[in-house]
Amino acid sequence: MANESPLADAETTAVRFKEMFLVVGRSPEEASVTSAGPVIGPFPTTATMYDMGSMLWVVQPDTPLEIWDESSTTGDTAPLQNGTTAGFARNGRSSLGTAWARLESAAGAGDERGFVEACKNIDWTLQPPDALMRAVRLAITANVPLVARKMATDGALRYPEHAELQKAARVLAPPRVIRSDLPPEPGLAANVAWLKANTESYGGRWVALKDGILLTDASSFEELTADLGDLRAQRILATKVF
Amino acid sequence: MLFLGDGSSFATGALAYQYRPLTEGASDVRVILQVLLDGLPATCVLDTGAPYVILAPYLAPHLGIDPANALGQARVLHRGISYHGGLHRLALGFPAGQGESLTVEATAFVPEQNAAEAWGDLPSFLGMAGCLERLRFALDPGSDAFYFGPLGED
Repeated sequence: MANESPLADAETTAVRFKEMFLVVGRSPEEASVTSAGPVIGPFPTTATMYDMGSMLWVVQPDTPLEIWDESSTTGDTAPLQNGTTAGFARNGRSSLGTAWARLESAAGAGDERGFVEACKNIDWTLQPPDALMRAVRLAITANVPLVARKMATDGALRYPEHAELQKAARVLAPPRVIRSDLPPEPGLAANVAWLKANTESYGGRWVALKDGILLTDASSFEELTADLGDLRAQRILATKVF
Repeated sequence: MLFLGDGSSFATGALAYQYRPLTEGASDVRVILQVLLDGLPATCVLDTGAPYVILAPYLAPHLGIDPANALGQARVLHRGISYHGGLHRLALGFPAGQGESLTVEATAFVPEQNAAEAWGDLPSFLGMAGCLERLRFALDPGSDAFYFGPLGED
């Protein structure tokens, strides 16, 4: 265990201490950091120590509750020699570090239900904005877009100065009707009629259609559009015939 | 066009769809719609099991989508393949063959351009969350018509 903190400034310290550090041993004298994260020192003068069997978890002192699943780690607390507190988990279940690991794992596996369950182990009202943004991205990956939306929306309300959360709330917002009184588009409807009428003869080919008229066909999208110019401005449909 | 029991409007427009498999010989037939993505006519598959509009990668350059404007980097699992890309907002237009056309602002996932090979010739997809979830819609298999309309509160 290092005797001097490698964390040079307060900002860096705050960031680093938001991580969990797995420490083996039941006392500061025994403890050695086993995680790959930065070494904390001097131990544990600025941290809160939690005992989980033979392991200690060291966490940032002013945010201990936010990173613990209180429902599963409620234990005794006692002051340590330096005035910090230690929580003694009775059941040895999850911590915030574990909860985040579960979030990551569920997201990576596309496990929607597992992700939602893991979310319940974190008090999101206490999470800093960057952590919320990280969770939003994981929720997207886990294919739980409504969870991502709620996290982004709640986070944007809580941290109005956080540009990325604001952007996330905007991008993930429910769809909004812009116009519902626009005239019909007979030209585009004619494209559908052409496709239905020509499925057999052009099946598998790429075609460019405008107002129900075939402009050209090709074997690939790139070949088809190479000389067509601005598809959007000309309202040309470039599609494979299914 | 279609009305609820109390006489209020359910659907204000309709467009014709195709009911076809996406690959030759495939058994899973899909509802294929012709819509407007930021004004660009585009073929899309109705996929209520997917989230967002999932844009075919080959269309992105034609929409002028700038990856720098995306909501960071996201990863979406689609049809068994994990795609990296970004989330954007775009205008999704339902051009009516009958009745009134409708445009909504929806969330769209745009895969990175290097995903084009894995994507192949598939069209874009219209999912529920962020896309269809705030629309009323109905299918008439008798006439291959997709009916749509705004929710009353919009």
